[in-house]
Amino acid sequence: MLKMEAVSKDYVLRGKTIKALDDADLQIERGEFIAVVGPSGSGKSTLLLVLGGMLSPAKGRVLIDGRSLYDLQPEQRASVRKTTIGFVFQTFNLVPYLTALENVEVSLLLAGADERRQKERATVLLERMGLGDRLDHKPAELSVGQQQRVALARMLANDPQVILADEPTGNLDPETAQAVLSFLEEVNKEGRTVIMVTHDPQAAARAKRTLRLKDGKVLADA
Amino acid sequence: MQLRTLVWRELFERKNQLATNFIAILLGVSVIVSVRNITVYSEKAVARELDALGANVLILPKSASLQTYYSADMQTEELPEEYVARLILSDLQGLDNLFPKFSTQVSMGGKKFTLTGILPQDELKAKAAWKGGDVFARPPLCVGDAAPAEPTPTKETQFRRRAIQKLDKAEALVGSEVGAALKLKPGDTLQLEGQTFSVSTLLPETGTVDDSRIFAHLHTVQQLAGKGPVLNAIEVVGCCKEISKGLVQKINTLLPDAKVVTITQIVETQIKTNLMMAQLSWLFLGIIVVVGGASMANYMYANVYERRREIGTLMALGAGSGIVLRIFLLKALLLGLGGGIAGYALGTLLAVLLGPRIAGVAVLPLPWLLLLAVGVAVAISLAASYFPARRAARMDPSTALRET
Amino acid sequence: MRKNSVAALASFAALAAWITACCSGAEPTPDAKPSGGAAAVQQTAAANKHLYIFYYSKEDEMTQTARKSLEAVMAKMGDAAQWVAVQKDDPAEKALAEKLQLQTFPTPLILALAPNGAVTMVGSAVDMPEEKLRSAIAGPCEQKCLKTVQDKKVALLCAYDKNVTAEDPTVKVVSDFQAANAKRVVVIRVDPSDPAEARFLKQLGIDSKSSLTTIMLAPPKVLLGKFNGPVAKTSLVEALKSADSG
Repeated sequence: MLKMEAVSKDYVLRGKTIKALDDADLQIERGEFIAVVGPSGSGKSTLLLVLGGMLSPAKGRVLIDGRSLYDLQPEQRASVRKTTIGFVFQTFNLVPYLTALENVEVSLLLAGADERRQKERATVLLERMGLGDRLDHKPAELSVGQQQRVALARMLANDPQVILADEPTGNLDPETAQAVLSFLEEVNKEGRTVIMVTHDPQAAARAKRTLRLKDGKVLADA
Repeated sequence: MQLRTLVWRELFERKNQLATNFIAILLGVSVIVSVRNITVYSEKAVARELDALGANVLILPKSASLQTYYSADMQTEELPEEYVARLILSDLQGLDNLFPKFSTQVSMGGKKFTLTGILPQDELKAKAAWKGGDVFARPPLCVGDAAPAEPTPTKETQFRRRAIQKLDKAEALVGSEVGAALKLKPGDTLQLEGQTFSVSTLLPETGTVDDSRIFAHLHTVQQLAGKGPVLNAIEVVGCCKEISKGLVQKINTLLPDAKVVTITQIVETQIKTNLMMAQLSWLFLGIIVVVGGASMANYMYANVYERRREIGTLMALGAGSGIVLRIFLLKALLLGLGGGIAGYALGTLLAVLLGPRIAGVAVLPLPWLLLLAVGVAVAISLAASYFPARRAARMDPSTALRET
Repeated sequence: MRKNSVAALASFAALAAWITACCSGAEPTPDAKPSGGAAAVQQTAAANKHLYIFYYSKEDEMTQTARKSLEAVMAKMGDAAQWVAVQKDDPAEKALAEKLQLQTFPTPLILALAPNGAVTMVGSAVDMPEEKLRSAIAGPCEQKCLKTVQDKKVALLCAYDKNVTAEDPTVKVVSDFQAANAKRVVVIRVDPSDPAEARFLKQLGIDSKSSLTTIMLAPPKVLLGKFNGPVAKTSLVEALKSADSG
C-alpha cells in the first residue's frame, strides 16, 4: 500500500551535503511491521518524512494506496496525514503549554471533531495508555515514559492506517521501551501498518521485517 | 479544545515576552487616546467660548497684557470710568450690554480673594435713557442669549447671562469656591476691609476664575480700594452673534487710549494649542505604528522561530498552512484587542486627570475613542504579524522536526 | 487814648464787615449766568425753568469752544432756560456731582434738568447741535413721565379728553390699579388736545383728537403697553408683569 519509486533526497548537515536517499525504492504491504535500521545520520528520519508526506523528494514518487503523495496540493497532503498517517517522534514533540488531554485533543481538533467528541475520545485513549489520572498534567509534570504514552495516544487519535515511528524507544529506559514496543505490536495486530526507524537491534528484532538504509538505498536485510 | 484556547494558552506561556509586548501596545495606544481625548474637549471649550462669547469685545487699558478672557480684568492697569458713558452717549450700534469691571484684592480669614466691582444693568440703562432725543421704546427683542421664559430670573441666572439687573451698594454675590471656603450662604454678612456686605446670592459653579471671586457694586469697590472712578476692563456683549469688524474699529476711534480685543483674538492661543495637539496626535500615531509595529513584528518572528518544532508537529498531525496562519493571526488579534482596550482605559484616565492641568478644561471619557484605540491596536498588531505568520505557515516541517 | 480806641474799634468793625462779606458768599447777580450749580438747580426749579449744566474738567481750547457755542444758543432761548458751569474738581459742587453721577461722564458735558429734577438730556458738549439742546425742553407731562421712570417707578399716562370724568369705568380701573400698586405706580393725566404736550404725545403715537388712551411706561425708558379705549384691570396687570421680566 505504500510505495517509494526512485526517490532521491539530499540534506545538509553541518555544512556537508549528505545523500539521504539515492534513487531508492521501497514497497510495503498493508499490515506489515517494518523496522528500518542503519547508522546514525544515515537519513532514516528523512525516509520517514518522505514517506509521511512531510518532505518532497528531489526525484521520484511516493504512492500511498496508489495515489502519488507529492502530486497532491499541500492542503490535500495535510488531509492525508490527518486521516491516514500517525507519527511517533523520538523527542515526543508534545505541546508544552497544553495538558495531556489537550495534547490529544489537538489531533482531533485538526480533524474537525467537536469539543464533546474530542474530550470523549481523548479520555478513552489516555485511559488505554494508563494515564487516566494524569489528564490535566502538562508534559513538564509527566515522566519521560508518560510523555511518550501521551504521544502515542495522540498518534492514535484519528485512527491512522499507517504509523511512522522515528526512534520511538531512543529516549526511554529498557522497561518503558519494552512497553512501547509491545504497544506497537498491539496496534499492528489491529491491522495497522507500522514502519519503525531505529538503530537499536533489539527493537528491530520485534518487527516482522527489517530493512537497511545504506548509501541512500533501502536494502532488504537478511 | 478550540483554536482560540490553543492561542490563549500559548499567550500566557511566556509571561515576560507577553508583558513586554502588551505594555508596548498599551502605552502607545494610551498616549494616542489621551491626546485625542484632551484635544476634543479643548476644541469643545473653544467652540463653546466662541459661541457664548463670540460677539463679545473686551476694552482694556492700552498697556494691559491679555492672558485669558475670564481673568482679563484682574490686571492692575486702569481705565477711566467715563469710557462707559462715552460708549453709552455715542451713536454706536451693537453695544447692547456693557459690563464695566474693577477688581481689588481683599483678605478675609487669612485668605486672599478678588473683589470685583460691577455695575447693575438698571443703572447703566437708566444712564443710557438720559440721552434724550429718543422716545419711550418698546422693550428690545434681543435680550441677551437667554430664553425669556422665566418671569423673574434669579440672580444666579442673571449672572450666568452676565447681566445683573439690580445691585445694592452693600450687596455681595459670592463665587462658588469662595462660598465653600468661607462657608457662606445667602443672608450672611461679610466683612471686607472694614466694610460690611450682605451676601445676597451664592453663585453656581462656572468652571472659570469667577468661582473664586466676590462681586459687589462698582462704586463700593472703588471706594474700598481708595480709588476714584476707574475700571480694569469693560466687557461689551454683542446682542447678535456676528461681531462686525467695524464695531471694533469704531470703538477704537471713540476710545483711542484703550485696547480693544475680540474673543477670537483671545482664544487664538488656545486654538493654536489645539492645532498643535491635533498634529501631535498624528505624529504619535505615526511613531506608535512604526515603533510598535516593528517591536511586535520582532516578537512574532522570534515566537515563530521558538515554536518551530511545535509548528512542525502540528503539521505532522495534519495542520495545513491555513490553520498555522490563523493561529498566529489570532494571537495578534488577541494582543491587539487586549492592548487596545487597556490602552483606552489608561489613556482615558490620563486625559481626565491631566486634561485640566494641560489644557485648562474638564475632560470626560469618550466612548468612541475605544473603537479608535482597538482599531489602531488591532490593525498594527495584525499588520506587524502578517509576515511572521506567513513564514510560520510556509514552514518546512522537515527542517522544523529535524533531530540534531 | 480815645483816638486810638476809636481807630481800633473802627478797624475791628471794618475787619468784621470784610470777614462777613467774604464768608457770606457772592450774591447771584440778576444776570442770565448764575454760578453755583446747586443753587442754580434750586433757583430754576422754583422759577419753573430748565437748567443746562455745563460740566467741564479743564479750561482747554475744546472746552472753551463748547462753552461759547452753548452761550450762543442760550442767548437765543431767552427765558425758557438757564445754564450753569460746574467744574469737575470743585469741592463745593461735590454733592451735585455725586447726585447726578457727573464724575462718570466724559468732559466737557451738557446735562439738561427739567424743573422737576428729571434729566431730559445728556451728551458731549463738543459740537452739540442746537436742535438737540432745544429738544431738551420738555413739557409738564413729559417731565412727570421722565421723573417717574427715573425714580424707578411705573407711569400710567392717561391721555383722556375733557369728557372723561371720574365716573368713567376706565378711570375707576386706573385708580384701583394705582391704589393696589401705590408704591410703584404713578398716574399722570394729560389732555390730548393740549398744544404744549403735542410733540411728546405725537412721539408716543397719541393723536390730538384721541379721547381715551392709556399708556404704561417703565424704567429705564420703556413702553410696556398702549391701550386705546376702555381698559380692563387684567391688561394693566399683565403689562406690569412684563416690567419684571425685562
